[in-house]
Amino acid sequence: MGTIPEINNIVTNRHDVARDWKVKTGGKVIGYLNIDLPEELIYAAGILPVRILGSHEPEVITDPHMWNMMHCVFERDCLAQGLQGRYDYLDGIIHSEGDPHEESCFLSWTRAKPMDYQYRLCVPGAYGLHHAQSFLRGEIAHFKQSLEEWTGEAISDHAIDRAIEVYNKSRRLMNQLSELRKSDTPPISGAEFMETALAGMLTDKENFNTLLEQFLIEIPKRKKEDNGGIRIMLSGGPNDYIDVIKSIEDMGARVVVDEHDTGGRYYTTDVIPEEDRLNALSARIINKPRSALKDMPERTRHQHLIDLAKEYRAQGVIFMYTVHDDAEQFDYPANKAAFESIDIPTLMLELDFTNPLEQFRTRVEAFLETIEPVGV
Amino acid sequence: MSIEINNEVYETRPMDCWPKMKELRRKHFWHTWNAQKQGELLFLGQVYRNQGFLQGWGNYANPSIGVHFTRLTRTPNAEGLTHVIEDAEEYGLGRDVCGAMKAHIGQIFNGMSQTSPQGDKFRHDVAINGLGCHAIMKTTQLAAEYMGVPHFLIDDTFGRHNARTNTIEYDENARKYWLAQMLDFIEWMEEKTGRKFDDEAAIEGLKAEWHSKLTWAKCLELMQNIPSPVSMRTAISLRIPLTTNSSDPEVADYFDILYDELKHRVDNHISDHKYEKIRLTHENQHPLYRADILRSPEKYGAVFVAGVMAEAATIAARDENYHYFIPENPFDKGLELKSRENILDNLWQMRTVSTRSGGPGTLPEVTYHRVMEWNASAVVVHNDRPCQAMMCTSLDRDSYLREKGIPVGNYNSSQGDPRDFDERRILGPNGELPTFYESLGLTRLESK
Repeated sequence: MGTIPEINNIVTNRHDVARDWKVKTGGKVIGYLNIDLPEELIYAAGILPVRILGSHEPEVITDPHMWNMMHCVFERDCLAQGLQGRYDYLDGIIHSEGDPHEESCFLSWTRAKPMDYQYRLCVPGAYGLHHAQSFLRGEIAHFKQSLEEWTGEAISDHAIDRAIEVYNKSRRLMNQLSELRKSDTPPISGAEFMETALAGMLTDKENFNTLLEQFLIEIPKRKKEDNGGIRIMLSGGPNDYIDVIKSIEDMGARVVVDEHDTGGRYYTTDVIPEEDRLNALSARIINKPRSALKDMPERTRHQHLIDLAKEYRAQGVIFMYTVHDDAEQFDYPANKAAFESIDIPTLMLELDFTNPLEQFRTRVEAFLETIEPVGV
Repeated sequence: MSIEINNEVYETRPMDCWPKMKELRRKHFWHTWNAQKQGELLFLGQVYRNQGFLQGWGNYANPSIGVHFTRLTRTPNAEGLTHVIEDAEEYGLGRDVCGAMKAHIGQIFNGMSQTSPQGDKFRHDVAINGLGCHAIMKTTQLAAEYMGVPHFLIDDTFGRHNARTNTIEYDENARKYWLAQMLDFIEWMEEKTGRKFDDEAAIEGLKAEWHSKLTWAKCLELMQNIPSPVSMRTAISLRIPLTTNSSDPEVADYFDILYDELKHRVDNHISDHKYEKIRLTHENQHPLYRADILRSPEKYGAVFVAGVMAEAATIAARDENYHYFIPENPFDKGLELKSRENILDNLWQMRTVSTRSGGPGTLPEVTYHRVMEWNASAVVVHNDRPCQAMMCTSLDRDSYLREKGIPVGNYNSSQGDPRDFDERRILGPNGELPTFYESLGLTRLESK
């Protein structure tokens, strides 16, 4: 089996993969709702952290907890999975505070199905604040203590160092993979990259690293079918809609870079090792490219987006965010204006549980037609 | 579960201090337009968690979400409000963004917030924020950028919610974080405004703020009596000076007058409504352009007597059993603030008095106890479509109350966007609220 089917298997059968890990190792599994947490600490405690994702299927099970006309569909979908019992193998759940809809998901889930371990990590409300990092360091120390009390075992410096090494390696390998997308004829599609990124959040990082190394060896041998296509960048919050990304690429586009927190944002920025390991973990969270929710008081995200677009020579940008994600909606005008200022056209697609792919097709095709292909 | 209908008829009387409230409200508006002419600072953003402390830079004005907001809500069908919201949408803010914040930023985009009724143009001096709500924080960021006003954000999200005990923990890490921010803020303000922070002025501001907020908390407690001396609709208006500037000594005096009058009404069974057939609480922010929704049960002889928004902006707190309590005023016990550290400690104390915040984690239990303590027997919930914070676990709260035997009626709209208010669906003959009131065994008074 090649690497891509293996990656696809992890994403498609994510629950079986986690359950198998539990059986094999006898370890605990913790689900997390947001990437603003020191995942390395969980890993260092010998626990498997897995990102909680939805299934993009219509559901009514969340109706007693969330108004379907009001709540972010991503969080609602995550809650649906929890209430349906699809995550019953989880020993614990973690949420880092900030997004009220995510908070709603966490609270409704844990009220309906309490877990052995449930933790709300207090993170700064904005990452551009002077004291945000030192505050977060203190909160991470509390989180560490809480994990140790739960497992009954201290998390050693050695274990943290090793976890940092494993996670940084994932980031480096994913960045190598991403670098390949800078070529005129990227050897990996945007959908493949996004699926690979998701796989890394759903399985043991060490196994994932082995898989990635293998993938990077395979890539030069891949048959080049790509004729370039219009280079597109994706921007937004969580986006695990691989089918939508595939459909965009089927229309002659090539997604060359993204800043989704289920994609590029998760893998950027290494932990820079230092004697105070918790400070190092805190620094990474604060210093990585910011999400809409945390990009305050000064605005930095639009510049990061422009830098990314230039680096990957994106010709167009598609903002993709889920319905009722109002933090993204607050950022949208500024981000759109930033791209307009450098003559990069943009399109906005709002994602729902299930998406009107044919409507999207019409809109995306019309958008792509406005962009002159390279070499014309 | 059948609800007992109270058929007592109560003596009613208008509130004597109503004109005083209106006078203070008028002064607030004119102060906004004239503060800078008087050499005072004009703040952009939401400052009501730091009202007394900000007196350290002298008297100031803060129009909160826009000095024209109330006037816009009173235009026919609140069309004025719709126009400013559409200005915000034209800029690019989406349909799901908080209506109140779109109304706020829309007034800035079209210049209303920077223009007095006489046509004078002005620009706010600084933008600050001290609230955890991300919609407010993002709006202030945008407003400050648009107006070119220096912006300082005080992160208020420092309370660590313990998911096991359902309490908010304020430990040394949180205190250090908050304190460091406040010290930075003082330095930043001195640099941006060229004005020194005056400890004595801040202390006087804090004293007034404690007094106003605690007195309001006591006023609310009086509303636990049957009959309530005023309905929640009246109370929400009487509270206005608390949100505009609780640290003004005149406002502190007003709350004393208000308390005395309410106490007199309690002692003499006087109300502002004839009947209390059923007492209800109203949860979540009501539509600001349709405050009359708070009068809707009165057509059935029922009345709202409490709600989360009446409690907001007080220093009242919830104890470990979720019970309402009013902390002691530290200044009544002879507290003297002798240093800046003391001032900040005092402000910290004000901010952290409650370990059951009434936020999403404790929403069901706090609401249940509010219903019990205010002798209510049913709850109306406004499903505020674009308000993420209010809607967080709102439905879990409804289920919890129903399990406890408390009927819950819902209506859907938004606090700031009149386009979300469907008159027929909410208040029409078969609307959400009339049918709920009727389900409680009430009948319209006019139909008798």
